[in-house]
Amino acid sequence: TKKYAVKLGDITLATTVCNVSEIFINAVSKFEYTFPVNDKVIITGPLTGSFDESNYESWLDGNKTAVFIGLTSFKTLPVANENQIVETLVALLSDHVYIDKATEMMGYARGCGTKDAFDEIFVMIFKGFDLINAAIPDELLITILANLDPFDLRLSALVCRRWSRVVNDDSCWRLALAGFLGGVLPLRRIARKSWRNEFLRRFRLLREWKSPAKRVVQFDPRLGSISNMLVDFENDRMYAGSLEKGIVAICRPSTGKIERESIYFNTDLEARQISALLIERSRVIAGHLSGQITTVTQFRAKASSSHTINHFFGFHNGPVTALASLINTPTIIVSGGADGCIRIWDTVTLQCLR
Amino acid sequence: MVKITSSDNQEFTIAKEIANQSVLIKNMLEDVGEADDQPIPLPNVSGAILQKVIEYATMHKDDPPAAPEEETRPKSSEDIEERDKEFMNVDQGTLFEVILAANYLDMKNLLDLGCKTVANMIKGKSVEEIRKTFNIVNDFTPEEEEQIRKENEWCEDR
Repeated sequence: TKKYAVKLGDITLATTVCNVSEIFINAVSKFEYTFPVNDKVIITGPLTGSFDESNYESWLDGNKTAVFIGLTSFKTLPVANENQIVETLVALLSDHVYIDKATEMMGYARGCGTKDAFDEIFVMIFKGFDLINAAIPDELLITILANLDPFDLRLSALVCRRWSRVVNDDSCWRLALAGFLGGVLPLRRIARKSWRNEFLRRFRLLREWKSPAKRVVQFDPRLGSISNMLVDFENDRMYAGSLEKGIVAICRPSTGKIERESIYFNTDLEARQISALLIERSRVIAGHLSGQITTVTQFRAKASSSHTINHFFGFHNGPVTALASLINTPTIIVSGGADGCIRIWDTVTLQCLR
Repeated sequence: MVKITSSDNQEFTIAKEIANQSVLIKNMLEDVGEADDQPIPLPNVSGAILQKVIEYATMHKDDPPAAPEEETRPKSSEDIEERDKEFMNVDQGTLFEVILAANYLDMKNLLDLGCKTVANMIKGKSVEEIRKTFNIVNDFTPEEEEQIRKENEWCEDR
């Protein structure tokens, strides 16, 4: 923001300080001033006629040489003589950023400014100066607004066109989210479209979590004792498996709803007791009492019939007691049996490797 | 000691640890070297605001450098120190100028404080109250306003 040295010397000065919020200005002549002290506006200039809101046009015409200067703070002006007023005003003005507005007004007062500028400023005098929009550049307005939570942030978009534009800039939401999370952006996005969505989603989730009326989701998969579980929030699935029944039930973690279709480990879709179970996101592996091992894939599709059930070729001599997969090589399964052997399986060929 | 001059040619002499809180001044000092006795001109900051900024820097000169874990702690605009609140209890013109100065001088803490102070003036207010607080003129056409209000409908039910 530029600052100008203000010369008020060539303007005849009378000083009126008026309380704009109560809008009343009495007729003043040179060096007569009536003012309740106000912290927003000083009006200087030889004013004629009395003013109220209704006659503002004509009053304005009659007072073209008046100079209006908005200030947000000033001390009561000590008025002794013209020079002193000028000095005081210059001192006050030079401390403020919106002097360019004031000089514009003075330009109009001297007959070289535009009427529009003057009118705009006059409106501002009535309402007080919009300093935040006059002084603060976009990047700082973003920094300011980024301190708000999503509710206040979205309300801010309704304030005026500029704020709307700034708030609708995704970088504002990005910064707000980073501030909200303590200066770092989340490692994993949960809403890909925009940072605004990311922030909104996270904020809502957190609020839901914190709200005293927490939702308790209850599940009743009717499986008896549950020995194995996997919650997959990304796909909204929770798997609960029972060794006793040989079934893995599929639930929705957000609602508690149990899918009618469960996962079975026999091609006849009958539930039989199993001895080991490994649930992963895209497959379920079961070890049978007989020593056989079965993988089930594609169980995310609705109908049980579409589940792909594969038995490995080969057995443990006795029930399968442990199952493990390797993170880096998902095609390899390791099993341990009651026979004391450990076997390594290839899930693609279904062969025992060792 | 370091000498700095404001836009209106006021000269301030301040201790180095105070001057160094401004990354701008710190870098300048490193560039010109210790021996230089010339005052550093700050053409974007007026004397009155510079005075205010120095007051802040003096108040915080003994602060420990920000601990790294502090960076990761979620910051909220509520946690402003009492003395900082007091310091920011100024008119809007001064507040915005302090923000501009902090930005120009590269003083992160002061900039943060200023921005939080303004944000706190917005928080929990209705749109009309925000406009009133900052004397902002509603420059939307009625249609535009309706449109934006619709887009933001859910934020009414807080």
